[in-house]
Amino acid sequence: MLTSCTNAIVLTVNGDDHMLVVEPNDLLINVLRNDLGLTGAKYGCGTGQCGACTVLIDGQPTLSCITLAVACDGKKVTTIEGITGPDGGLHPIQEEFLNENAVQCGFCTPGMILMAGDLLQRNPHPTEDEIRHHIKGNICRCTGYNGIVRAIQNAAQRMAAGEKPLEALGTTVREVVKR
Amino acid sequence: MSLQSYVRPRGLDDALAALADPRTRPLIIAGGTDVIPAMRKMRLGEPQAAGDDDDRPGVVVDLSQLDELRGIGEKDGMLLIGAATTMGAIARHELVKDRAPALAAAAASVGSPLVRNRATVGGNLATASPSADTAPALLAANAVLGLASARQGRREVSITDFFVGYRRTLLQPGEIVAYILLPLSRGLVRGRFEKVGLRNADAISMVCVAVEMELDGRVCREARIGLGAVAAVPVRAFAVEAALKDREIDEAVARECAKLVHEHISPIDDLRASARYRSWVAEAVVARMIIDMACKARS
Repeated sequence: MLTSCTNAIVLTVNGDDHMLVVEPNDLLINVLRNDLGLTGAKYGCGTGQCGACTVLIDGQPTLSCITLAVACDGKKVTTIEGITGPDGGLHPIQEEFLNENAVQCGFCTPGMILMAGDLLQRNPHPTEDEIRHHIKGNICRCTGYNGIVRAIQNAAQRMAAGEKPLEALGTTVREVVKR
Repeated sequence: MSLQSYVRPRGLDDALAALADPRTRPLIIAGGTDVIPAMRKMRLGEPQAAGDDDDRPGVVVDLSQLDELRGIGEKDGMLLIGAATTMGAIARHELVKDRAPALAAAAASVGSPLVRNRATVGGNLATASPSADTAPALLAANAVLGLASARQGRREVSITDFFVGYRRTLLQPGEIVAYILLPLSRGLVRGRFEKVGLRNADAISMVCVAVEMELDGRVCREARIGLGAVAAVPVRAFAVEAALKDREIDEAVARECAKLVHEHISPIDDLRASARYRSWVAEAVVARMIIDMACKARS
């Protein structure tokens, strides 16, 4: 059994291993932002309703504002800073967000892009309805979503045309269903 | 510092041992989607007021990574779901979609994709919110809950007995929901779930209804109806079920039977809806679901 007061944990964040000492009630978002200086994930509602804090944990989109850092010991975390294109520049999803003016204040954008990557990995040819369903937990107060949806549609076309291997978006580990 | 430690047990027995001593003030966490917003209100980082007993949690016990509590499978003709299985895994699972469609739909309606990646069905039940979406589906499926604790060992209880009052269950201190068993639907049984919320996404139900019906043509051989967000606890509409039994269903019969739902519900006014509106919606949704299931959708 793992029990400790201050907990030494190892997080693999965007491919780098970090040894960290955290309190039992430290939230992952605060460790990423304050200890590691990764300010891409945003602290929005703090209750898991807005999606601004979205990061990938072992490839799965997760609300880092309602996730204990200590519970992520040994896991792979991917933040928006870990998303790059083939040449180290922007990923096609990021480029399409720019092309479609899908970014205004930018607060929701990291979460939107990570959710778009998650969707396209599972479902390379999503319908508009499937796209809107998948970003239901990510609130944008500026754009009215239409640009975001178009950006994801454009990125889907480019990625389906083989422009970018999907695995580049973090790891591909999925929940294993046992029994 | 009130919160002293975090425990990630290696196995179920380990977890139950960690929960057994009430003096450590254990707090169970699985997906954390309810617990962490609640912890935020407990002001864990602040010193306790002088002279007060500190009733804030001392140790967080994380059940989310216990293999024994996760996964979906078949056992003795029943569908077995580990309590720490996420809503997303339940909503996507082919066996659940095929044999317990009301539960799959209920799980798919919870929160957002992000919430469903973490939220667990056991947490949805143990939190005992009146608006818990999986509760009506499990009531309609006549589910059995497997409970476990270090002191009492294992026991199985019917979901109809599980909720004993507003946000109260028959879980004893140190006891957890370990698994859920539901009878697999047979050929003629249909299941359906509907939720009425203020918006499509991330909404807490103002009324949710699950119906399972065994139909012989249009004749209802058996019906089970669960409702959420219309009473202090999720409820079964036994009077509606009894009235439907062995009746040939048409629109008039369905509407007449649905009126009996008021014997079982006692909705309140809150920020999401008025009691009057909830009553009206509950009756209307029950009637519509019975009509749709018995008179339309031949599959």
